[in-house]
Amino acid sequence: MRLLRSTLGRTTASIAALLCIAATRIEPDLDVYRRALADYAAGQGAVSAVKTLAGWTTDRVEFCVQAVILRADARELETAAVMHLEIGTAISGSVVDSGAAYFDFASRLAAATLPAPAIVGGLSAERIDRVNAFNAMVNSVIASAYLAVHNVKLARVAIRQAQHYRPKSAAVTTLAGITDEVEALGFDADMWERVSQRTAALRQRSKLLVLAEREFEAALEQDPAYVLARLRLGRAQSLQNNLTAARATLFQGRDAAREPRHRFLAAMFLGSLLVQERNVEAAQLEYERARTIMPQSQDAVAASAYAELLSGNRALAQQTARQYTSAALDDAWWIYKTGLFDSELMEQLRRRVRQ
Amino acid sequence: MRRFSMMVAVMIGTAFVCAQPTFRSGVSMVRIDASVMNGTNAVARLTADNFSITDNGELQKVEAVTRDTVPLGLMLLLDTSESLGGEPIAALSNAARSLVNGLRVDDAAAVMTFADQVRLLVPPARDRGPILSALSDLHAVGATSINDAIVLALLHEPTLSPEMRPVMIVFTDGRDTSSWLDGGAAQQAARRSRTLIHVVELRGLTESATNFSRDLARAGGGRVWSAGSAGELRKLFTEVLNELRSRYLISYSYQGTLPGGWHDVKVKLKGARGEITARPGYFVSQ
Repeated sequence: MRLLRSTLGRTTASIAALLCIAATRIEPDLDVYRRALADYAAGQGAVSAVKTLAGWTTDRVEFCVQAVILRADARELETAAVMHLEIGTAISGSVVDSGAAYFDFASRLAAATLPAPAIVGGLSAERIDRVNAFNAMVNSVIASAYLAVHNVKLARVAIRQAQHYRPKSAAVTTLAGITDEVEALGFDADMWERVSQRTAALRQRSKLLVLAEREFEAALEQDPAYVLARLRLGRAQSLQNNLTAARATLFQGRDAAREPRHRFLAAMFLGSLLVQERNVEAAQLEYERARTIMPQSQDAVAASAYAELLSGNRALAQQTARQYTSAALDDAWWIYKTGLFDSELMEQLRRRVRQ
Repeated sequence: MRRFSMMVAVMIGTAFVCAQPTFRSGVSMVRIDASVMNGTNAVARLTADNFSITDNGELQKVEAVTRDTVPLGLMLLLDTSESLGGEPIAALSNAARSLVNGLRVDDAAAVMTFADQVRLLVPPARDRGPILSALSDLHAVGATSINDAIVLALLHEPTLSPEMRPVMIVFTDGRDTSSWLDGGAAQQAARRSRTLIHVVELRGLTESATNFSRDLARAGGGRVWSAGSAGELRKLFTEVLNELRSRYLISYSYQGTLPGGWHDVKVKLKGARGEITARPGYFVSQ
């Protein structure tokens, strides 16, 4: 019994000592974390936040996130959610699933902006709508970041979250369609040997493209002015060789496109359609337009170089390819490669927490 | 099955430099890179008299045949997507370094990698230092943009001089997941290039080469080499290098101005037995 008491005593003393150490270490962590939040809200970019939290274990960040959630200050929660979104995006393509932990923090912090069910009834519809919109936006950006690094599985999880908050949003419906489209392109019959495998790949690709097309049409019913849905609808039609419809839809989308990313996508999709129509010179012009908007996009470079090669201008194609592959990239390529990352929505979130 | 492959160099209206150049005004020299195998053995000691060539159906006069004397301009295009993490990427690094160490002093090499992104790690050089160093530092991360990579890599001439034989070895373990371009574009680029293409695939023991790899190798005049495990890569890369050393460069002069467009070329053996692997033709810009 004495031995047991002695052991228990030592254990209690050890736990107390550990708690003291944790308290002295964690308290400054929270201060540092809050400073990072303040800096971010004041306009510092993701790089500053990444530098501040570099080397932190997930547990250390988790502690700070929990503290912010417990404090339940709506403004702080929103700022923290967007800051974590920035960090996750900034590192998402550098190592496999590297952004996942930060996206999870962002999603949880955003969810914590929802008041407890008991007091929801006392809130204005406007306030609840604002909170739901914020959550849908955060999860949509997460989904788009996953799509940009071809992680369809995690993109679908984030989209389900976004749909929960905004079931009839054109933006969220479009994202679901984009996910189907991205997955469809993974089913390339030429990559398979057996007839049965080729048939299965073709069937799956076709099924997903039809689903994507339906989602884009549904998004346009929800909001006929939503440009991204129109552009993606044109792309889905073009991928299904419905060239006449694709041409009409893409030109409508291009005329309505204002955001740089939308103009980039319009140029890429029209370029692809023109290659299908064997109008290589016109395609080349579209791809050059896309490269002017996003010079670091590998998709635009590859498409451009290939169109130049097809049109007989090998020297120009070589120059395009060499300049790109030899360039030192000091930026996050996944933001630019495909135009899948929703930079407009991210910008809206930045503005919101920096008001 | 009879397979054809060919590395063709065409120059119109200016001096064309090839293995044994002969330039006459109004004549275009065409150079063909062909492998002749009897089972697993390369067929040696063939001369110009042993080859019969037709270019768009017209019989050509073979002017020169050389073997194993022309330096290589080698492009190593390596898949570094995340599925290669762990042992495979280490085995790939070893195999590629072993191949580079097996090159001759006058050969040149360049290294490109692809996952989501396509990067030129080392431009064509005879100096082995930077190449070996780059190959020691490969990391497996990201998706597979093999179609984009092939098009972009074929637009880099891996040669340092026109005398060199441009060769590309593509290594991959997977299927394209993140390219803008499709497989047809990669094959079209191969048809429009003069680079000989070999594809080394890391496949499971039960998996065979994909249609994509076979079509690409056929368009580029090379072969598909399948490894059942990462441990086989080093041996396979050595075999590829040996195959490259045993190929024939066959030159013929095309009388008059070469018509633009696709030239269908057929190479046959006369008075000897063997299977010829050569490019099915070449493309002349209009």
